[in-house]
Amino acid sequence: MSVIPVVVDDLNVSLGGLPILRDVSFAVEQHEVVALLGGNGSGKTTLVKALLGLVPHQSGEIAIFGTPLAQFHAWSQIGYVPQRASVSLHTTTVRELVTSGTLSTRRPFTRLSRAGKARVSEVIERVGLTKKADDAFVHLSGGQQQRVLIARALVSAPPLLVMDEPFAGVDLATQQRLADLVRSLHDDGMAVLVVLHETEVFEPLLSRAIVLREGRVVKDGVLETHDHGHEAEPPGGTVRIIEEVRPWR
Amino acid sequence: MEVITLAFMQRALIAAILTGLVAPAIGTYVVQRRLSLLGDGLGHVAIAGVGLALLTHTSPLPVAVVVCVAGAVGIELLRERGRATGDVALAVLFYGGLASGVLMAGAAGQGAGTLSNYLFGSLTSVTASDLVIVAVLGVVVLIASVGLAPQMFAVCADEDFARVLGLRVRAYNLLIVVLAAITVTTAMRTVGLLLVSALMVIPVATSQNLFKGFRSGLYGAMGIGVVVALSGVFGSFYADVPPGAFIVVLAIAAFAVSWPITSWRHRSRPLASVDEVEPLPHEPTPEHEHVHGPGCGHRVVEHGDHVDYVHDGHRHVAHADHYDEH
Repeated sequence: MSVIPVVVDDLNVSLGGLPILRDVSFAVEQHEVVALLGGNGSGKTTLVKALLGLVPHQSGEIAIFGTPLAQFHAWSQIGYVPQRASVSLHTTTVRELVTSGTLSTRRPFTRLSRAGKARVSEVIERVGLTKKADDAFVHLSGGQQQRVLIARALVSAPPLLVMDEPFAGVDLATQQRLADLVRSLHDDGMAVLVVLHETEVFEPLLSRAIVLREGRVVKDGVLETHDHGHEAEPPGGTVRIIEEVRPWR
Repeated sequence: MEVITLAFMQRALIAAILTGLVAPAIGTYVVQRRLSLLGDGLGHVAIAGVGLALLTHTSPLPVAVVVCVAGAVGIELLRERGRATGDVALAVLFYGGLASGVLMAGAAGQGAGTLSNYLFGSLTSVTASDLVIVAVLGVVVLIASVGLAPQMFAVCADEDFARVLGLRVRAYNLLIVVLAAITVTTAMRTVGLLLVSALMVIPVATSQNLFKGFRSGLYGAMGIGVVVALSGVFGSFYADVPPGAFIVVLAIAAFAVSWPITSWRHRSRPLASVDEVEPLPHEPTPEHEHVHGPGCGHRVVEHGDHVDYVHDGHRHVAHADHYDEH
């Protein structure tokens, strides 16, 4: 029996007395790549943080792999890719940062096993950074840093990947590479929830898109696909959702 | 070298080794959390402990440890609740600690001379019982700083990510400030409460200039800490000055020497990192009978110097006699 990775039902979040999310409901099924779209201040990042337990919610329910968030402890099942990592010790290497992703399954005062070290090397290779593994993280380009954060999230081989604006400050060519990487992860069966400003290069991968406005879900459905013959896709543009779906209701 | 046969110097040197190891070890996490001046503030709080001990005629070290740890927990709770109000509260706590320490020492009939032994260190003031406390607490701090390095590194580098790993971020943050408080107070005999923060921060910065990687940096900082602390104790003996001042001046000198090395490294590094380091793995599409081309009806997306065809959740491009996933 497959368990739905993310189910959010009637979620309400207020921060400092100000309502940020109102009656938000959605689900992310296994094998889905779901985009969370919306303008600045629409509540996208707060929603991601709420479903990871990083901000408290006032009402509603969140279930991760069928377990209510408050009782959820299988953190190795979630790979979280934040917008950026603040590494204040400027000599911290790519390998060290990626290795920290092993801690969800590692007990204190234990050394990283040989298999664990091999897994770290494997995910660094997967994101195409083997030659940079022992370089300082802060000396990498924005796109490379983002790939390091993805590698760190992948170490525990999670079935769910949650990415918060992975394209922030990343050029178009690098966005394409990141999208290629996410597509290969999705092909491996991973469910992906990704916060985006615009769908752009991610569009071919998306199973569904959820649009937030002022903390409410205003659209949730399959993206419209069209045939542009041999003309290139128009850059950016608006989200066109033709089929509204709410499969978890 | 008969200096090391003197009992008080032996105690001072052992205390210096422990302080030199422990202060930069916990300092590595304090610097990573961008709380470099935490040690300074905790030193002020510990002065209240010293004043209380003088007033109550008890041993200063254990009382200072208890007062400083309590202050550290208070500081961390304030930090958690919001920085704007925390700033003012921290200032009240720090200067309140200093003022109340001086007041209590004065009320106990002790002048500034007595307090200065704790503020800047004093070779002759390390008693045998102090040394036992310094050794036991020093070993505890060392085991935690090195043994829990992966966890504390993760918490300091990215709190949100650490929470999603299931780490007890609040507990680790509390642990770091409590270990820092213990370090500050155990260092008061050698480097002194007003200067201990320098030994927590400067060897870490020096090590960052010399070594690559977090763990190498941690061990490097501990090595530098031991060298400057031992040298400072010897220098203090021969120059007849407080050891804390000598240790800190040496630490700054080591930092100054390391500076050109990091500058040279930066110059020899390529100016900008190129993103296209290694291609992502080549992945052929299994069994693709349809031939894409103009007018085939599938969606087209520009991709670098070619176009990809999109259908059924895949994006393909022709490559030799097959199609690749893009």
